[in-house]
Amino acid sequence: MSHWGDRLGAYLDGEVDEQTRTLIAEHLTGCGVCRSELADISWARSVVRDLPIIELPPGIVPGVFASRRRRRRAFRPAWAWAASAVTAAALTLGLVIAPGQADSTFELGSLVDRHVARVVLDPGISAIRGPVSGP
Amino acid sequence: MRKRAIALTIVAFTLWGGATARADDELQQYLEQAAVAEFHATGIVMSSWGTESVAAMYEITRSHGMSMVRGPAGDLMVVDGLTAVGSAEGWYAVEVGEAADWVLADRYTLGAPMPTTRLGRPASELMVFEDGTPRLRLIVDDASRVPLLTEVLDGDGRVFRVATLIDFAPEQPAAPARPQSYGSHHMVMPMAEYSGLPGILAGYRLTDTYGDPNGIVQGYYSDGLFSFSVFESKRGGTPGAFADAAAFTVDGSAYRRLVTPSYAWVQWHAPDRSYVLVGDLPPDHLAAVLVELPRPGDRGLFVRLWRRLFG
Repeated sequence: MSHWGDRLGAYLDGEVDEQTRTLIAEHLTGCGVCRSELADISWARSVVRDLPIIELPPGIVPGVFASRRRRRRAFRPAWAWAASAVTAAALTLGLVIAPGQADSTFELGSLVDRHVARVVLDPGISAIRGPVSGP
Repeated sequence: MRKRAIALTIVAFTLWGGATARADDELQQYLEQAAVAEFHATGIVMSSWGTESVAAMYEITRSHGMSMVRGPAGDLMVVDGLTAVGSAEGWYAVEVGEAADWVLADRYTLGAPMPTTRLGRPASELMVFEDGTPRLRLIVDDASRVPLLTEVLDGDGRVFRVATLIDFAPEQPAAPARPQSYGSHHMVMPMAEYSGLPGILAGYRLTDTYGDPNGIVQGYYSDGLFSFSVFESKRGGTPGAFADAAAFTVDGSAYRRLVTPSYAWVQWHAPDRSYVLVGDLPPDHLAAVLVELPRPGDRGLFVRLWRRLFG
């Protein structure tokens, strides 16, 4: 059975086209794996969105640099460690993973030309083919 | 008694093999003659992929060793060993560095030709079988061997693509106007040393592999009757034309598909590579090919985590 794991996030956000949405909705009615995955995604997002927004107290950043200059271990409250961890994770995800979502390297018009240029050298295929056009 | 049985078996296989070889040779001759015939014609091509149907009218002229096709996407000419493409900025040419010889796969055999008429001309109806199953129905002009009607059947025996000429003039037409010059898009397709694509895909042979400066590799596959190119690149985004393309699944994997009258386009991302396949192969062949190529997939835990959290 096919699963829609990589599209469920977009489905949840209403970012898939109508046809895909229908396919996924039909699939969900009979697939416990995808239903469970969809519930997980929904839960994870609700947790992230419900996190409180913490305003940093004035002067905290200069304070951090000052502590580094002194090269000694200073006391930090627990929320500061948590904020640092979240920031590090966000930077890792943002800087390392997000660049993977690059623009397409394919220029479809060029692909048509290259395929056709090769096809016309095959007599049998040339004999029965029609016109060629890109999408 | 046993020796006699063996001898009869050998004779039977020899006769069967000979008949097959003759049929293949005859089909090959039909196609080779059709490819060099000179004529002018107007045709319509239609294809149907499930609920999607598309059609186009085209005009074809072959004369003095040149071939010109005018279709909805513009003009295309084969001249001087180049494929010339007409665009708004003028003509540009695509040159293929090297190409393997055309070979018709053994799986295709030709049934007995049946006399008929088409467009008022003596013609023959031919059925091409793939391992005994009808795959292609042709009505060819007896004098020129040009296909006046081509019907391609899917694995269930249903016609999924029809190309029919509605006007056919076999007299040598005037030569198409040769492009005076080519623009700056002239491109040479160099052969590439690359072993990442399978040598055989569902009976299609990888005949040539080409590269380009952008790192895109083109593998050209053919079985002599149908062909396709697999374009492979580093993993990137989805080409804009596929953003709203129809989704379909093959053996549990999801792909995007666009269809044009003569061709199907399929796009997908494997964990490390992105792919576009373009070809004229029947739907059941397409499915068989896709399952033998790298499957669609994501990049791993971190990307999945990113998408699940932030969409």
